[in-house]
Amino acid sequence: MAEPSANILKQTLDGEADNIDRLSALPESVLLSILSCLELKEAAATSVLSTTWRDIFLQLPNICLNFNINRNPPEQARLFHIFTLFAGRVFRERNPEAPVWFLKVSVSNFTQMMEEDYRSLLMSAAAAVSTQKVYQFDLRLTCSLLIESLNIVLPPAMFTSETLTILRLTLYADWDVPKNVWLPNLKYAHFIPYRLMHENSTQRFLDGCPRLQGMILMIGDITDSYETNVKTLRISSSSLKSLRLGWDQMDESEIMNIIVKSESLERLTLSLTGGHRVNVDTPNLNFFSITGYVLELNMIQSLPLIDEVVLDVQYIIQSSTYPQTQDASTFLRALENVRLLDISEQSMKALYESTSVVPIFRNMYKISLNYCNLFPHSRIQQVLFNLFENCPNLQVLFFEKVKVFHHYYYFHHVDFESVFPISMVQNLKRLEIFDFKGREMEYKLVEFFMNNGPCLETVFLRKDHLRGIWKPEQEQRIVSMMCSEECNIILSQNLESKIISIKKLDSP
Amino acid sequence: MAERGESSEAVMLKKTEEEKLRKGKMIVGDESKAGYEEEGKKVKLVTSDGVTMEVEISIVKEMEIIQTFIGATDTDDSFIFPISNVSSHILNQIIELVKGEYDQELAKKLSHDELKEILVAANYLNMKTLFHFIATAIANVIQNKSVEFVRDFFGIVNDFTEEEEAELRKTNAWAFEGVDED
Repeated sequence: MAEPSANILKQTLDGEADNIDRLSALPESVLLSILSCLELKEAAATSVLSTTWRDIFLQLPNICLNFNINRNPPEQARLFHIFTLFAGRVFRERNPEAPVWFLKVSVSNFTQMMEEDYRSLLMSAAAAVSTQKVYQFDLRLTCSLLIESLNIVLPPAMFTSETLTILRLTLYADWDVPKNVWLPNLKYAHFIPYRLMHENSTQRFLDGCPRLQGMILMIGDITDSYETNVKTLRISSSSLKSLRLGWDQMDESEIMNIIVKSESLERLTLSLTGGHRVNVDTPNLNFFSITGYVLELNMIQSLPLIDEVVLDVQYIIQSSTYPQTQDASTFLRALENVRLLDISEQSMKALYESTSVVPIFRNMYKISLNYCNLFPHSRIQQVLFNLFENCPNLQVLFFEKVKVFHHYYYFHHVDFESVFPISMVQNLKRLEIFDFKGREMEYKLVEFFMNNGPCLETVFLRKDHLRGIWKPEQEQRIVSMMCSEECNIILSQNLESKIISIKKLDSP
Repeated sequence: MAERGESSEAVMLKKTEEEKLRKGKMIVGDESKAGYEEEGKKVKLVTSDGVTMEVEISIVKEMEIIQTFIGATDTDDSFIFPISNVSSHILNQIIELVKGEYDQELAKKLSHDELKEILVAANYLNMKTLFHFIATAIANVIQNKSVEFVRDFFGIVNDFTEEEEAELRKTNAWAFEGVDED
């Protein structure tokens, strides 16, 4: 309707002028729905359509301010200046009562010339977080290759909000938690990467978040130059339910301490590189996963509610400086109620080194073996045998892969009974191989379980899509194996995840 | 399992397999019975141009405004719902879109006026999926278009003075900066 003639034409053509009028009279919320499908920059361009449209984009409930431009530094800085002015207006002129469900401020290719504007951008974003009803805040920064290291100061206001529930900081720069933190409704905090600036920074943050439930911290070497003087990370919270902590420490000569103490914690995932001494004091833990390397792992108290454990951890053999090598399997006693255990070869090596007795895992229902070169290693066979013997109620055995050293083909007869106690095999209900490669060893393994397992209900063999489909002779070989009448054989092949189910009808 | 670093795709596949397995063992029938009974049932709607149309219940179910009626009255087949804001032409378009499971290709075939009218209708009938689908389709149309095009599309009269518009372009300069993002 820019020109009156066009308007008349429309009316005469379709006679639906009513609807056109209704459209321009649509409530703001409907126009907002259209704008919310556009990038903020694009939505903001609608401000010049008419006075009605001027400020509509300012009410968008999701604000994504995205600066991702790579020009020569002066031009980059000029554009960034315009971007910052715009962002300032978006924050300043919003109706402060209209909630912001999601606020994202993302800046890529940061250069030194942008520093001053970035500071003002942070100030206006922080003011919005603390004074407007912002529910999720996502702040990202990546630097241009020209910058070696960058230290930014996050305004304290960014950590003061009555409404904020999710805070994500993805800052490739050094930053520290401000002195005062008050985020009474924060439920999730993701700091990836996270830099340990001071020993009490993390705890200060936690103390200001009385309702925090989930936290992800990835401490690591983003650049080669990252070093920290902080040697101890303490995490203590009365609300935290889930913690994911990654710590990639390049300098292995330093010993780092991790102390997690929380009554409420239900899930703990640790992924560690370097040398850490880990102390876990979490009586209500339900899920525990540890991967990577560790010097020590101490469970301060037993975990009566533990359900699932993933152990893929290698103990670093300590030098003579630390003669008190911890017995790797003592922590297993804390886990004796576990129902599902996923254990890697690395962890089994640690168990082999240990001298203490493996507890009886009465609740153990399923054991998953991942990346196990188990057969040529007589030591690991022993560990497995002991483990299986102590799981009287084991029903499911899962192999991610059955890996075999090549030399096995030349000289070895595998004595399966020395790995899988016959009492365990007899009780087993389900056997799974997730990546069945079709090797001789795998067929023999399956045959051993089928021949000796009267309770076996399901044998599930999955071929990875890279390894093609089940050939008729391969199917035939599995089907012809002697097994219990009740046993279902499922041969699965991907990508289609087609399932060939063969019920054994003609039992011997 | 995913926490171990296993690819999420693999985990998903594993899950679907397990689900299929579980379903395979279940006795099929009971859970889907309720659905079958209603299938084929139609609801009569009278459009703004006076046409009575029989619409499948599965489509009417998306119209929340009618659902509230159906919930309130004991529906028998004779009940007729007037939808005075929607023409038979637009209702047919809506039926096509819902049956076509909201295929963006279908939206491309619609004229600009049809898009707008369907948006108005979806808002009126409170069809959330359709509304979002059409809002997205309209956003796609006006994306990267000139201010003049968008004004024309919505039938907007520019009531800014030249000075006002120039001022606004200055304060929102970022929005008009033609930059290629990385």
